[in-house]
Amino acid sequence: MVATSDKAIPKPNFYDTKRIRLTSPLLHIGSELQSLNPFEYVATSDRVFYPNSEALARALYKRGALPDYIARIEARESIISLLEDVFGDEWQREKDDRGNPLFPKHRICRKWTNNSITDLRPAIRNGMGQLYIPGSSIKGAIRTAIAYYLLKHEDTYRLPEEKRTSHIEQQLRERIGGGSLKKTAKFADDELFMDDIFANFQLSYQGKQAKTKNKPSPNTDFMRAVQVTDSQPIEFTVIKRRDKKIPYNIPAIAEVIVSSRFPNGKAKYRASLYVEIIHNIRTEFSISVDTDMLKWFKHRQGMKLPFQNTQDLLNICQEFAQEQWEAERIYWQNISSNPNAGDRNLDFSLIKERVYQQEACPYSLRLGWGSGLLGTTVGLCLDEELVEKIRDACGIAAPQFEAPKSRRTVVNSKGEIRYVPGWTNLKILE
Amino acid sequence: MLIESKWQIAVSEATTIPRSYRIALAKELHQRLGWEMGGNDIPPITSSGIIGVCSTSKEYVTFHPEECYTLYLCGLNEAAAKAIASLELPPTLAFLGGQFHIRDRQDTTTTYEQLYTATVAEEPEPTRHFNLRFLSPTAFSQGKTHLPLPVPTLMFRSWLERWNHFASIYLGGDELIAYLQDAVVIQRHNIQTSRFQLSKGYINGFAGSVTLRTFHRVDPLLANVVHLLIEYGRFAGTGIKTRLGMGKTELMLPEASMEEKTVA
Repeated sequence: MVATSDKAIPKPNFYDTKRIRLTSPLLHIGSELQSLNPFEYVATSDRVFYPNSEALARALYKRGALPDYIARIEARESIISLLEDVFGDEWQREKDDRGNPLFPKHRICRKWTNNSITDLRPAIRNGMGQLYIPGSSIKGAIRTAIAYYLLKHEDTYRLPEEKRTSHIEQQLRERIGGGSLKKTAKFADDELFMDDIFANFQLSYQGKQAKTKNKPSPNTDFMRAVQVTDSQPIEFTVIKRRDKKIPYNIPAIAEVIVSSRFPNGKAKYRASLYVEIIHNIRTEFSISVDTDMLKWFKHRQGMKLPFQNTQDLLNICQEFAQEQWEAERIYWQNISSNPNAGDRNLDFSLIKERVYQQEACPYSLRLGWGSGLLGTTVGLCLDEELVEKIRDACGIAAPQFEAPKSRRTVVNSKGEIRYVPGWTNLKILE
Repeated sequence: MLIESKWQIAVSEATTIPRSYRIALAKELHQRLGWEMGGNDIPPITSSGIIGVCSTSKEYVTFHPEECYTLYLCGLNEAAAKAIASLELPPTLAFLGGQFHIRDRQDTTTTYEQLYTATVAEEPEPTRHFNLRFLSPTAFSQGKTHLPLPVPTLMFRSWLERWNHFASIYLGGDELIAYLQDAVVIQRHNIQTSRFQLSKGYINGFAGSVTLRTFHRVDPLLANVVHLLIEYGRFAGTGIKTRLGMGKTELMLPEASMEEKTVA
């Protein structure tokens, strides 16, 4: 018999673990493949199918159509007519002789565009082929938010002086300009900068100083104490609410419009990309803050840690999101639609009215592809002019042009420019 | 406040003491100042050891009665500068069996604000040539080894680090160093290696004169920051172990350097 008594030592609870519900109108997290070849997917008028290539090859082989399939791939031709010839009109439901579907259910996307898809950018999937949001992506976005927060509140958290910009450096940058900045572009690089804020710590455990190298390393990075799990697989579900059925987690291939603006504020069309997005996401993941481990970290230059628990982290994210929101809102308010932008009608009224209608940011974190320069860097902390210079030095130079140079918007199934990728809401579940 | 105190020293007879005397001397001086040695990461007190012509053997150094010697002590913050200003050395300083007669004393004082105002804030016409003399062995830390060469960025990094630590005006970090790297060159030098004896082993440093030049195309602000840091180097010393006597740096006035040139 196992006796429990009130003398039993309770296991100390060092973790602040919270389940978080993530919702987002639209999100894309890229996979290791930036774009798919035309034979890696099959696009019909309203759906895009990713085949189980092994099962497909096996089934085609059984029916003696493998050489034809290979010939089509070599010629980079569509395989739809071949599939119809071999399997009939119901080719989407076909299985191989082992019972594996040729086009697994969770690998079918809606198609929101009638344009012919060029360079399809797939979303990340787990080993089972299911869509998910990697914990590392979420943690990365949180990390940027923390860096931003520390820079913004540099005095409160005693940010090391050498990580601030001195008055002299500021003046020199302005006067010396681009050429010299290019040489010091490394300074603008996250790594140099982030390392010192995040990882320049000494560790002490139970009163003893741990041996650490006298330089930032992953061991001395305080984000070690934060764990973020991958999200649950993002699977299509329908939730009934007040007699209304709401579909969630809808994968679709959408046209993403890259646009900027002319000096007079008129929208300018730059390019279209075809991206696998997930519409109306609702999933869960968890964040754990190892509060005990956090106490080990002592910054070498006396910087204070800006969070103690999950709620603090979410507050930091919220503040960063709000600042991005304000910057984006101003950008979109100052854009005028351009019905004759090449062969595009750039009508951004839905973005203005439906996305950026309110001043307070309704989201907690901007995540994934399309978040842009402001979402993935601490650019909002810096001078506009400096951000331009950094963009020119580190990315594609666009002198005399504001930074970030372009924005991404997503066209819905009705052909309207309707969504902006990446805005997510995080809610702690009790 | 910043202070550089300079004492003239003489010996009445040839005096031979161990070569590692600078550590004992630094300890002696710190004790007289009532200042704990080794308490700070960046020491607010720098000393020079005894500077002048002396003969050395492997283990010993001999000071001669016909030569004049100098001893420098510098304070980099208010408390250290005050302690040095009120330091009364006895007429004869005895240590390690040697008797050193303390003669004349000269103090140069300024403040961080004054230095900054005079060289940078008032935007004077930039000075572009600097004749530096490294009076005691000077070296820079490079991982586990020491580099006994006057590399401009290392010198500036050393001065800037101390300036940022003690001054209320923050000058800049890596970015400023990167700008300085493109702005300053060594025009001339006359240096040789010089050994700094520790109780066990030694560190190789360099000593001698180095002329730095700022390019004419360099922004006046940057040229003035160069000037500021070099002026500060006189107080802060250069490189490693400045509290024990390494890295004593002197900025020579243009006339003085001209004289030296004529003699040479």
